[in-house]
Amino acid sequence: MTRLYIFVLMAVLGLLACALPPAHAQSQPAAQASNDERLRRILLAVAARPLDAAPFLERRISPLYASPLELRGTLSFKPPGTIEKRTTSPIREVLTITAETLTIDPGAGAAPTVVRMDAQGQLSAYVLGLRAILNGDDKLLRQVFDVQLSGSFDAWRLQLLPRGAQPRRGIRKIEVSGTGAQLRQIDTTELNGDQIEMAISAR
Amino acid sequence: MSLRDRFLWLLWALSVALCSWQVSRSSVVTDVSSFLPGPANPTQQLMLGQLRDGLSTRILLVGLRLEPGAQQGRPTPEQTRHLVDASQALRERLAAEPAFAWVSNGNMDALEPERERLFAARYLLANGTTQQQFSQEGLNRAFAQLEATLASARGAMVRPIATADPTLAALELLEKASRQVVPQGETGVWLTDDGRVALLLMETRARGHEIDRLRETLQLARGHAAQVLQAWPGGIGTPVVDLAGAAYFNVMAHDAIGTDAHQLALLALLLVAALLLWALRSPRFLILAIVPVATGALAGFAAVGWTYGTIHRITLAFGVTLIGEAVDYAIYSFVQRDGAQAPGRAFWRTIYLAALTSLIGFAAMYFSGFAGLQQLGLFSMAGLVAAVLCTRWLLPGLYAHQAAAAGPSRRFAWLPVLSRRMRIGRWPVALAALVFAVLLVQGQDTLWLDRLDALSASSPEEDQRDLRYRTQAGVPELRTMVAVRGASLQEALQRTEASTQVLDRLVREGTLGGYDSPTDLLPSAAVQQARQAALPAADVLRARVLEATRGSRFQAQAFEPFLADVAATRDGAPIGLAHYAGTVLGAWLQAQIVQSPDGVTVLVLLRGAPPSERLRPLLQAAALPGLSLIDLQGDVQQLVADYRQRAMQAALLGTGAIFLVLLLQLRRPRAVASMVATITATLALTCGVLWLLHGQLTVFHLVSLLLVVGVVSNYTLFFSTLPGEPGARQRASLSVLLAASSTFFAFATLAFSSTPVLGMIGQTVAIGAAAGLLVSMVFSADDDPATSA
Repeated sequence: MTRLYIFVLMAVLGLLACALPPAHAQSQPAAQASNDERLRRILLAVAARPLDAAPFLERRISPLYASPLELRGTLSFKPPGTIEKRTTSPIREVLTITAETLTIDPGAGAAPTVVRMDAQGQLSAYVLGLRAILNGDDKLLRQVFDVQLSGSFDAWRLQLLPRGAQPRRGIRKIEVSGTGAQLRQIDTTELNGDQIEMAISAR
Repeated sequence: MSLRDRFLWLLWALSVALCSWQVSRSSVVTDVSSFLPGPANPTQQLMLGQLRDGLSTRILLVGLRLEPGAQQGRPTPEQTRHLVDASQALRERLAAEPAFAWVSNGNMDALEPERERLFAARYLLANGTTQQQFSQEGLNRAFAQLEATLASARGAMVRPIATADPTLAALELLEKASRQVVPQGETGVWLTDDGRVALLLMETRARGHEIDRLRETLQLARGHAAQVLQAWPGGIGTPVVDLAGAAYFNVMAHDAIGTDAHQLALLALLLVAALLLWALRSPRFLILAIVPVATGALAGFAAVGWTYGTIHRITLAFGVTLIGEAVDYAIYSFVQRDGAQAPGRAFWRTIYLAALTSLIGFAAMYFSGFAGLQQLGLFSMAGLVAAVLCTRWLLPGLYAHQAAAAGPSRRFAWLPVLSRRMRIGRWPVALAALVFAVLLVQGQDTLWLDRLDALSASSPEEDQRDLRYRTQAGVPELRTMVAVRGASLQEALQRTEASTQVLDRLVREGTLGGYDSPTDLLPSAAVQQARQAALPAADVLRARVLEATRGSRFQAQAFEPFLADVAATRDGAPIGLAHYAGTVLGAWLQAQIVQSPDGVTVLVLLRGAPPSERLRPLLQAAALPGLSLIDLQGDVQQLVADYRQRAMQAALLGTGAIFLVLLLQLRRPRAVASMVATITATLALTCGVLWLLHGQLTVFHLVSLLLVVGVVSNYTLFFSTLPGEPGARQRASLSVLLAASSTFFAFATLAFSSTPVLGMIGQTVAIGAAAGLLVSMVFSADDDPATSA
């Protein structure tokens, strides 16, 4: 089964990767400088306090579901690049993404699925974006997304639109919000109409 | 010039014109498979067809390889990014070229059409399309499973197809297809494990034997690669372009024959000319000697062209050897003149006898049954006859105007002394020949190498790189396959389906690693109809989906696409080959379904197959109609081994015939016995030396031994019929020495050919000529009146 899943994963990741950003109105040049500065400040603050087993509640709202699917678990980030998403309910599973590999470990002695990643990989849009935020790397973030920042340092909100060609499936947009150094919410809207809202609490 | 001479020259000019005309209208062919014996049965025919221009011969791999420069190990992210970009750009360019049936660089986006076709036909293709799967129970299970999968991180993988394919039928297909179209993950394109080479895999439209079209295709690929790499930024080591795959090796092998042969022919010509000029000090003789050599070559080519319509390039290259052979007779006649006198009747009798023995050797080659060697045999026979006729009827008239050069006789005054002294070599030579003979007889079981890849002209590094690239791009091993024949496409497909059940059992038992059957992509109409029949009617399915999603998180109406697709499949027509038109899958299918006037053959590719001697009985036991096992290497090996045995018989018959002719003509049993001993010892020595050099001999060595017999019988013939008069005797010895030396140099040059067949022939005859001369001199010494008196 592992091989099969890798194949399908690749197929889907291929689709994710095509996610293209429609061309977007650029912010006014005058405002941009100060916006850049504010984004940098926020990201640096977020990076200064890496997630460490921060509890999350993920709600998946989909045309598939009569009621949202809720997942609980913890989220960790180990600089420079390891993201660990540990789900405890309704299923148990650990998803680990490093610069080199993506591992899905269902636990209970079952064989984990391991997929090699690459910095330039097709999965990159989403993972690179998340990693850029967690690492405080505003340059990388802007490479992958059109970034729009609103709000203040104490209640900020980023709207991320993937750059690239017009996609058929994959991510439409990602909205990330937080209070100061605390990452609070990651909302992803997919082109198929699914929404994934992930709320992160401080420990 | 006498009237007779004029008439003869006129005849010659006419013949030359006729031969030239014949040669000019013969085309040159190059594929190695035409050097093989003719197919004996339909399976062999199919095998040879596959070998000639089957899919395996049309595979081309292009690698963009970063050379390990300053930094070893994995390339930098920047290099990787550029490598990926270059791979994408090159794929786009090549895919737009009509010279390629399909091009893949592993990029999934480029495979979107393939995925769409598979997905559209999923319920016709999946083994899982059963009444059980679509029963209430089956659907309940499927939806529960889907819910759990969607909750996992793996959910992202199935979410895109969940509404249209909740039973995940597509996964089974994608896995099967992924063997044909191996996806490569992380960078979206194929990179080798070390990340240094970006790979592109493609099928050329040019077939294996269409060398010129193939060469153009290769140049096209190289040209596009070079243009793509122009965009490569400086300072980070531009990649080199590697080509691999059978399409490339075919062209290489062909070009090696071409380039090599011209240079070697020139070199051989120069060497022999220098040798003769040094020995005879007669530039005039050199010019005259060209007449029999050139006429012989021309007659040889004309005979081959007239008989076969085409001339193989290997035959052309073999023309080199005729220099060594045809010039012999000119040497004998020139050196053995006594003063200004043309050689006498007895001399010509010996020449004719010598030519006859050589002819018998070449005739054995002709009757071998190996198409390529038949050509060589015919070429040599025609060439030899023409050369001898020129030597006999044209040359003496020209020598007559030149006084014999006394030089050679005086400068080679040491020759008789040397001949006498060589007696001491008698015992060592006899002993060595005996030891080799015993060793060869003892080791005859492992002596012969019957693999055809011994003929491959590629270097080991290239072979290794080819293997590595093919493995990493997932090109299936095309060596062993199951062929299933049927009168029609449907019959062949149905028989294949019956065979796959047996193959499935072998896979379960662990005997077989796996297989790729075209019926995975194109099931027989019967199977497709059975699957259609297993699908429930629209309203029934709707009710079952409603029931299966009740109590789950799912909304039943989300699965409308599923209902629509099932209904469309149920009411639609079965798919045919056209369903995959224009896709990589279509190209594979076309290669695996071979249509011929008398039926259709479906090729099932095997992975991890056991040796065919083990697999064949297992398949035979199942008694499946129309099924046969093709083992490209093994079958060719068997074919070559069979052929080798026939060639061996021909060789023995030929040698026997030579001895018989000598006995009848000379009527001197003792002399003939000594000649037989000489030839046998020469063969033992030659085989022994080759065996020491290579460890194994091929059929080409064996056939070359016939040439050796033909040549050496001439030496021993002259040595055993040495005239009593010392001057004539010395001239005769000298002529044989020169003839043997020129043969040696011509064939030794050929031994350096990068075309293995020519290399083997060259080596064998060069060693044989040297050994033959040695043995003849050593054993003829006791007839010397100076010592026996």
